[in-house]
Amino acid sequence: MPFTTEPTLSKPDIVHAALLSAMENLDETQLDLFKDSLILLLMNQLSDHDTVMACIEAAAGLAVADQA
Amino acid sequence: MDLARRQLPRFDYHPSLEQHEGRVIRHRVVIVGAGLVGLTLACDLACRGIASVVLDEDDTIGVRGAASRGICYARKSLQIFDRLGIGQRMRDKGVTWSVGRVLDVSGELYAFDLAQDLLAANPPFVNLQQYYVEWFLVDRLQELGLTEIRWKNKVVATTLASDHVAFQVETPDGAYMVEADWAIACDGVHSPVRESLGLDPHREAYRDHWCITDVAVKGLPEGPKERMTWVEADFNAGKGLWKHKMADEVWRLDFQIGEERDIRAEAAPERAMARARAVFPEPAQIEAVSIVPWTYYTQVIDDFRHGRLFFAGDAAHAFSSFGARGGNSGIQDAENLAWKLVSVLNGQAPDALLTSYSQERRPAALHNIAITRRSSRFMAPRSKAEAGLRRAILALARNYAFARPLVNTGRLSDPYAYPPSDWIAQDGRTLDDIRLRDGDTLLDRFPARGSFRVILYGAPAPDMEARLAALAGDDPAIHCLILGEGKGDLPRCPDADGAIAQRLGLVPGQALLLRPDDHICARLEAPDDNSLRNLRDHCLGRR
Repeated sequence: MPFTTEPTLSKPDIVHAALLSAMENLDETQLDLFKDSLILLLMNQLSDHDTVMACIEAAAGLAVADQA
Repeated sequence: MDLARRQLPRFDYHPSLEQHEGRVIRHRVVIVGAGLVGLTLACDLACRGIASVVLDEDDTIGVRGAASRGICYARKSLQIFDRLGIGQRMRDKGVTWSVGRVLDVSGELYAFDLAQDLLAANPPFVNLQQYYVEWFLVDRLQELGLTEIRWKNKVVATTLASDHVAFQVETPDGAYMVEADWAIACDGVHSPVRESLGLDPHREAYRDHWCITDVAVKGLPEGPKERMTWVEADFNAGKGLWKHKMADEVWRLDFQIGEERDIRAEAAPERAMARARAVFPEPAQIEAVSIVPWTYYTQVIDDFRHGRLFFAGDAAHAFSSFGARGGNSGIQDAENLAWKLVSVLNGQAPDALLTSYSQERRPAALHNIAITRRSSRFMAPRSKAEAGLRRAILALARNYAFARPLVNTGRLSDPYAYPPSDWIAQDGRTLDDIRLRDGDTLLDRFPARGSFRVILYGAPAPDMEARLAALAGDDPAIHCLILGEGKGDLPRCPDADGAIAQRLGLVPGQALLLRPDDHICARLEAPDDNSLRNLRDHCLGRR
């Protein structure tokens, strides 16, 4: 699937709540493992190299912009 | 057990003709360094009828007694050694493996088998102590009788002239001068020749220490020959470990010590052997063969050619050992240079062909540096975040196949594909030799290895076949082989089910042209003798 920044999720509130509930009660190490595993699992679902690279670039750009 | 006290052969020093006669002699080719790369190069030249003088500062093969450096010879290297005549000895003496297992503190994460390829003439890897390969090469050079290896001849100064290279050499009988039309420095990672010329190898140092611990082991149950890689081993303080079997029941254990632990203390024999004991518990008997602490770094020089001097192997480039790319790439350097140098010496190609050596092998070195750098970073995460990402990859890899390609404990040596250039028309990959049903190999079907060769899928018209057969009389020769049945002027290799053609990427009527180093330099439709001559000439730089 090509990289998009337009909304595609059909149930945004449900997945957000699921994320929060998955993170609840995790200590810092568990939380890191959860987030890193989730990134890797999602990357594999995307599979398309250019899309994955575009996501990494977009997130990196946001992190740097937010810091500034 | 005498394994630990293995004696390597010693070779006698003899005063050279220069010393006897007190004059300077100009040789066609002088090679500095009788290590893996220098000996491979000398052997390749000798197989092509070219004499050389090899200067070595020591009087034995190997380094530090029985310490082995490289241990893992890849398919491309085995194919080269088949051509040089020591391939069978290596396979007989070495340990052929194809199964690898990747583990962490929790146990096995996954296993892989590289031997799925039934068409391949050579196994993916043979493990063998480097000094055995050097030993076989010295034997082979003696058999060929064209090479003079001068032991205990240490190069102390190098002079580059426009038409030759001069070396000042120190021997037990004092110093003398030797000159060469062409010289090749294969004198290792610290290359005295390179340093004497002040060439900057652009060193990038790392701080991840390792401790090679080669141990002789007795009393093990007969087990499968597998390579084990621990990303994290509980008996090595959670750091990495490589476990490989070599010849003579000797195992290479390479323990990652890391940055925090004191490498000198950890390399003390009792500490090293305590770690080895954890790998081989009682009742196995273990004995140290060699314990060598090391820290990797990468370096590469700007140009592998300086006038009439070339650099090959570690003297030209070094990278961390992940993937066994050092020795294997040095062997390919030697092969790449040998046929080009012989073509120029025989008047079949202009000097410009020799420039392509650096143009092809330097990018290969940069490619290896890029690949090994990623493996080093996986094995030694530089931050908490990097370590966390690795933990997630390992946790996923244990359960899910998708994460296994992300585990990077080293990408095993594969031959570099030269991109299209002034020298390569198309393709540029090396052709892996193919095992035929009768036990022969595809490349055996040619009257000569190491020449220009053409593989045609399907026979051309009889008059064209006669013209193609006449190419064998060219200088240099082009030997043609037809995939298919029938009789004619050219040799045939049956391929009833088309499996070989498919492997070579050929459809009926197509052909490929192989260089003397088995790299494909052109793919063409319905070739005629003139187009093949033109492509060969292009490849040799005759323009």
